[in-house]
Amino acid sequence: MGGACSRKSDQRDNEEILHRGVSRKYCKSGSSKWLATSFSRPAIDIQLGRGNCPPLMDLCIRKICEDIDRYNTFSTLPRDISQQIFNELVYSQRLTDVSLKAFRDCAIQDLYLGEYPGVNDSWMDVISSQGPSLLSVDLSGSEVTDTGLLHLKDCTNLLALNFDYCDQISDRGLELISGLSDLTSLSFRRNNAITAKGMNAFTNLVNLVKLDLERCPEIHGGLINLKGLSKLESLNLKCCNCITDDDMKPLSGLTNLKALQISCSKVTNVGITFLKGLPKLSLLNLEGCRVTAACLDSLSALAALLYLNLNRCKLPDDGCENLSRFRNLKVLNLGFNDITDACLVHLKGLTNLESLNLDSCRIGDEGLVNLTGLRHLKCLELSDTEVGSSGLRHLSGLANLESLNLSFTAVDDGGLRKLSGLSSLKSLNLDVRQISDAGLAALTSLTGLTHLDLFGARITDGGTNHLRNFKNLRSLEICGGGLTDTGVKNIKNLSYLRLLNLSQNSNLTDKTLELISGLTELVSLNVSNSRITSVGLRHLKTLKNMKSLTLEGCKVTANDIKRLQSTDLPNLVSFRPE
Amino acid sequence: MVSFKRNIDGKYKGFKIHRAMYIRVKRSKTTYFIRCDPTETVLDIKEKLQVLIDQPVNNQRLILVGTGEVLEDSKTLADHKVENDSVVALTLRKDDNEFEEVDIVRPNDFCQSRDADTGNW
Amino acid sequence: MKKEDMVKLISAEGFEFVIDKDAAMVSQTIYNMLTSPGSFAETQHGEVTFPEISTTILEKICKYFYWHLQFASGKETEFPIEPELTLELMMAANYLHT
Repeated sequence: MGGACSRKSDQRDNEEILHRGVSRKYCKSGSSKWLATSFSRPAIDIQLGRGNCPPLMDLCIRKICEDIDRYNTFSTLPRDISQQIFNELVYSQRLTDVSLKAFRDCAIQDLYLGEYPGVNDSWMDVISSQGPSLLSVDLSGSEVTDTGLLHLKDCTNLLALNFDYCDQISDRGLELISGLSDLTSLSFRRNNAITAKGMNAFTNLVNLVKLDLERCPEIHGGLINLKGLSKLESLNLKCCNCITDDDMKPLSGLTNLKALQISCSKVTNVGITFLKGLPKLSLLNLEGCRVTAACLDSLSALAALLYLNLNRCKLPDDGCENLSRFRNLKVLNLGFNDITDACLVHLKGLTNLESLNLDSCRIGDEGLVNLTGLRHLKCLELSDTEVGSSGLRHLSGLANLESLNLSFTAVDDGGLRKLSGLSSLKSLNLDVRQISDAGLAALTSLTGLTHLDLFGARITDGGTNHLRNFKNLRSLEICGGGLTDTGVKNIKNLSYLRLLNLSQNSNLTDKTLELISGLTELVSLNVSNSRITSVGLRHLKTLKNMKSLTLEGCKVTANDIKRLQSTDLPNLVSFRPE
Repeated sequence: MVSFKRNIDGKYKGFKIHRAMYIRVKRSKTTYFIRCDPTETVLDIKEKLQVLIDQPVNNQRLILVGTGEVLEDSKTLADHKVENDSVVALTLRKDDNEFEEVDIVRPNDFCQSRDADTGNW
Repeated sequence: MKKEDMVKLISAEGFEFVIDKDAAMVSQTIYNMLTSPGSFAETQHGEVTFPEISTTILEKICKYFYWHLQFASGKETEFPIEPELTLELMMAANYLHT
């Protein structure tokens, strides 16, 4: 029945598809790179369809990539052209260890091979042949090992290296790149083999501005080697569970540090005291750290602080009065803390706040009165709180509000008209079981909405008439079970839709697919648990931008979808059943 | 950049129609790209050429390369199956009142060795 | 059609292509030549010589200009490129900012 019960896991699935769908298929790590690039740059056939005339240069480069076997070397070409050919080969997934050879000695500057399938040590020879011209290399998700890194030592001008998810690189590899002292950016996410010992190599990298060691579990004690990196501005230690208070000490002198992420570490209030003297620190992520409200005292010394994440820190109301001292804050995340309305009083004066997250806090209608003066608020997260309809009146003056999440709250139809004046609103989450058609009717003035989530709401065909007011919708979810094909008629003209989730509406038939066949912008479609059959799939042929298609619990097999993919939906990268 | 031309009846002729296609008229080492429409007559084309080559239409003869067919003034391009990108040879009347033979010089650049370096642009 | 609306492009081997100026100006390089006064003496006579571009390539380039304009006005066909010309055509396209 209705989707509300399975909502949270479903949401995760959705994100997974949207952000990681391709990676799951082509690579082991979870980057959104592929999807992101293909979002921003449609394939040639789509481009043709939009009347956007491709330059001859682009046509030639694509032609070369199609006939790549004809070319033995590009080393006589100007480097910017070989760079373009290389990028296109990577983009079109035509680059192989064989075609790579044509790029030997091309003096290329940037080699972005992140998440590219098949990259291993045998590629390093050609990569390093770019010599001093090479400025940045992304080999994240590759099979490259320490041995492969040996090749890079002659690329003395390298500025940026990315080895995220390269689990075969260890301390020895770090040593091999320690001579690349021009490096400004270095990334080794999710590496189990890097330890304090190997991090000694960082002492030579005096020009580092950005260092990313997210999810490296063995680096405790190694940050001492960062002490002299006075140019360091950004340090990401997210999910490094090994990091303790002692590890904070060497950071105390990094006066140029602007962004520090130590979420899910063992850092406590003691560790936070070492950060007091960082005059430029503007972003601090302490999500899930073992701090108490007492740390706010140390943090209030950080005059430049704009972004503070205290999500899941188990903070109680006691001690939160210090929050009132953070008057410059633009973004504050207090989600999943043990705070109540009593805490919100201290937020009253934070008038620069643009984003406030109170997800799953024990706050209710009374507390929201303290937010009425936060006129700059653009984003407010109230999901899973005790907020109900009567509290919404305190939000009605937040004219700049662009995003509001009221999912799993006690809000009902009666309260929604208090939102009708929020004309800046673009994203509204009303995944609330007690919302129905009448509630939707109160929102028709919100014509700027681009994202509307009515996942668990009880919307029926009658209610869909109101959707016609939301012509700008990019994403829409209605999964309460009350929709039939008749209701979908009111969705078929929402021509900007990129994501549409109509799952759990068990009465939808193939007619629905026919109705939405004109929504050519669709990137993601879910009509699971409906009466869709394989016969209806032909209506999807027009949806050339589709990347993700979910039809679980329908009379559709993986083979049916694969057939459609091969003949008509070349961009489809994720589908279920699979 | 785009010139809209008025028709006799005063209506603008949309450039979609106006530039529906082009043909390549060749003589010796010169190629004229002429915009045209399948409904235009061969005489229309000769009038356009007259502007470019200062030769009266009577002194021009157009031959469709490929079929060798001599194009008749009163017929349309469509009649002669002249399509977009078609190559048409131009010959001119000589002093003895006869038309010269078709003479289109072909470049031999791609017959030569193409190994020459391409890096000198 | 007026003579002033046309421009003559001359290849490395001295072959001539007489084409519409608006087509030629699909190339940013030619556009600059034809619109910046005085800087390119030869363009005064409506002629531009490309000593580095071979005849076959220059003719292909001219075809692209017309294809581009047709495409822009809604006639969306494919522009065929012969494999043996691709590399040299690309170099010319790069030079002509096309």
